[in-house]
Amino acid sequence: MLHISDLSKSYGDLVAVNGVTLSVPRGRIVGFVGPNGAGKSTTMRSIFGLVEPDAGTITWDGSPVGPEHHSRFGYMPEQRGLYPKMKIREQIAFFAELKGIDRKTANNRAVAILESLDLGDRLNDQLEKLSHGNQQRVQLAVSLVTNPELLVLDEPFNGLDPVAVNTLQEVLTERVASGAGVLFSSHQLDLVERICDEIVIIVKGEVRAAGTVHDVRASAGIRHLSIEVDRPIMPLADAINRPVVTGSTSQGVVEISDDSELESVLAQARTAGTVTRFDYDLPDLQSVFTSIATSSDIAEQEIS
Amino acid sequence: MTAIRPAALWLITRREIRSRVLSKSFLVGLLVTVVVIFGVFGIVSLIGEDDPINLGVVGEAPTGAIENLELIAGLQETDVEITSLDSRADGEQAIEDGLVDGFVIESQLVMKQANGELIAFVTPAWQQATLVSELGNAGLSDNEISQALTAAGQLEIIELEADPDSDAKEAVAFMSVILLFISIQVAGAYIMMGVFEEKSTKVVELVLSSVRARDLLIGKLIGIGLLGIIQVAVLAGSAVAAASIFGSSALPALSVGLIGTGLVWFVLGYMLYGSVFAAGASLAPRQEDAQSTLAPVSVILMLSYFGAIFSAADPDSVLARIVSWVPFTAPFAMPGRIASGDAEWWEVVGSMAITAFAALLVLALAERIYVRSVIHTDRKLGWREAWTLQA
Repeated sequence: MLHISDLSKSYGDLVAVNGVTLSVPRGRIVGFVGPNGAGKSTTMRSIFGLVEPDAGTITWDGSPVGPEHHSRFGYMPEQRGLYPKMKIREQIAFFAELKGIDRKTANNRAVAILESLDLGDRLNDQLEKLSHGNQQRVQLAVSLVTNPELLVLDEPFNGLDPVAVNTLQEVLTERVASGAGVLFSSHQLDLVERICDEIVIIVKGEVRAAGTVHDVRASAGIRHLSIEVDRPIMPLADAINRPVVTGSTSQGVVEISDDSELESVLAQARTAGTVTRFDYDLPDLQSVFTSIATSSDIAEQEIS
Repeated sequence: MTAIRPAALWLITRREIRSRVLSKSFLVGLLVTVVVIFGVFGIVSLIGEDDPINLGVVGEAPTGAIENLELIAGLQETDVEITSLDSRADGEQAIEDGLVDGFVIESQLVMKQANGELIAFVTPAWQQATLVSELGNAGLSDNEISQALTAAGQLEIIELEADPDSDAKEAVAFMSVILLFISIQVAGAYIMMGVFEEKSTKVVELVLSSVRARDLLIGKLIGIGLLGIIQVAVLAGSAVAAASIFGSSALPALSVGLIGTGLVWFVLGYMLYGSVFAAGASLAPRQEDAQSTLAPVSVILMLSYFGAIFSAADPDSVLARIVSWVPFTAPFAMPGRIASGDAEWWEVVGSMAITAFAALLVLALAERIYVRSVIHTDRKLGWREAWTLQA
């Protein structure tokens, strides 16, 4: 298990990461979510020693992460980049060898992984000859070729077409099934919600919410009530005496923070017409994330 | 600081060599330089070659006359070709056809117009041969003749500073300075491009997630350095080959020892400048920034080159002595002095030791800058800023 504890890093006056603590257990996919500049990349880069933290520890199975661990981890940096003139098979084998895999195995694995990513007929093409999407696949192949125990992927879904998104999702599921831990960052919250076992929400260098997707959705302390009214005699929003998250004349989503409110909301909805739908669930990740991100902005404004 | 991983180092080195050796520009560049070297020697030999003396002889030449002629001409590095002719008419025709410059018949030397060189070579040769045969006819033994000729006061030639190759040595001295300068500059440019490529494509982030920055730097320096050594060896080797094929007079001064010390100087100069090139390139996220961060290095390199060129022109001067000891100029200046034959062995060894020490020091400083700055792909850094930068 990867454990990051109280990680802090400042660049001059700029606090990039402030006391971040998170864990990535084996066999789990952890989504790392936050606005731009929240400290996701800094945290991920520090796992590979690319950032020297001011404070905090990073351990794998209890021992401090060092170069011998880096060769067992796979990494996809936010800033994609490979050698443009190098043939893709050679390139993947090179990065595998850098992680201590012998040349023959590295070569075989490079071929196998390229075939599995539908690049089997491009083995000896230079990277720059490939389309942008295929270069992305090669980048992914580099991070996977060593069968890493931990995969750290910074925005892996950025710039992928829907087919590639599915492929990547399958690959991650497969790796996790074979016991690897995965930490990936993303802006696409629907995707995170679908794929991840756990998520960590980071805002302004600090972790604001963490846990299973369910826990995080529940942590907001509110529920989303979806209401539909058949042939309303007045707009639903007017009938209900409270803010509507989304909605039209005949349907809407309402936030409630206490189950005791259910009865009164239902009574109000009935004044608009026949209620055909009345179910409630935890808010989706997008709403939770938005409320966390904006609440911290508000807090900031109040301080300044 | 952790130890260097030899395996990772070798992988980096191998990649550097492979990616460059397999690139067309490297091979074409090397081929072009070899062709240019052969071309230069070929042209020089065509221009500089003395016309041989073509002498016709009607009948028998006096005993020893031809040998004397070859000896005299040989002192002037001129070849002699002898053509046997049947008659005076035959000889005149041969002159007309340009087959001979002139011919000897009995005691006459026949030419179109008076040819000073021909007269100067042929006359003493025939005189001496005739003298020897006349003395023989007078009943003197060969031994007595040779004693008499020696006693007659033939001047023995004594050179105060015997050096038939001084021009050649100066030429080779210049060639050494220029070759080393070009080789180190080319290798420096390779390093700059290599570091810059990794930085601008951001691949450095991925490489450094499994290899330490100093391993990447040192592996790269070794890889490009080995290519540089191959390049210098090919260039020097083709210079020697061309010189011997075209019979250049520079050949005697182009010794194996000179090429050997030249290679050592390349390695030292490369270590000194190469790491600085790497550090300079690591400060720059874009090509045009690399030009400006490397400007101070380029200035030092050019000044060192001119210092060495001036000292090659006057290898005995105080300037030449000083610059052949200063680390940044020594890799160019000392080889020039070695080629001129003006450097004592202890000067060479001492200067090599000082340069090697300086190179290691510079490498350590450059490493610090490289390691701190190479990962910052977002903006241009100053030398001073990079020195104190944190990862």
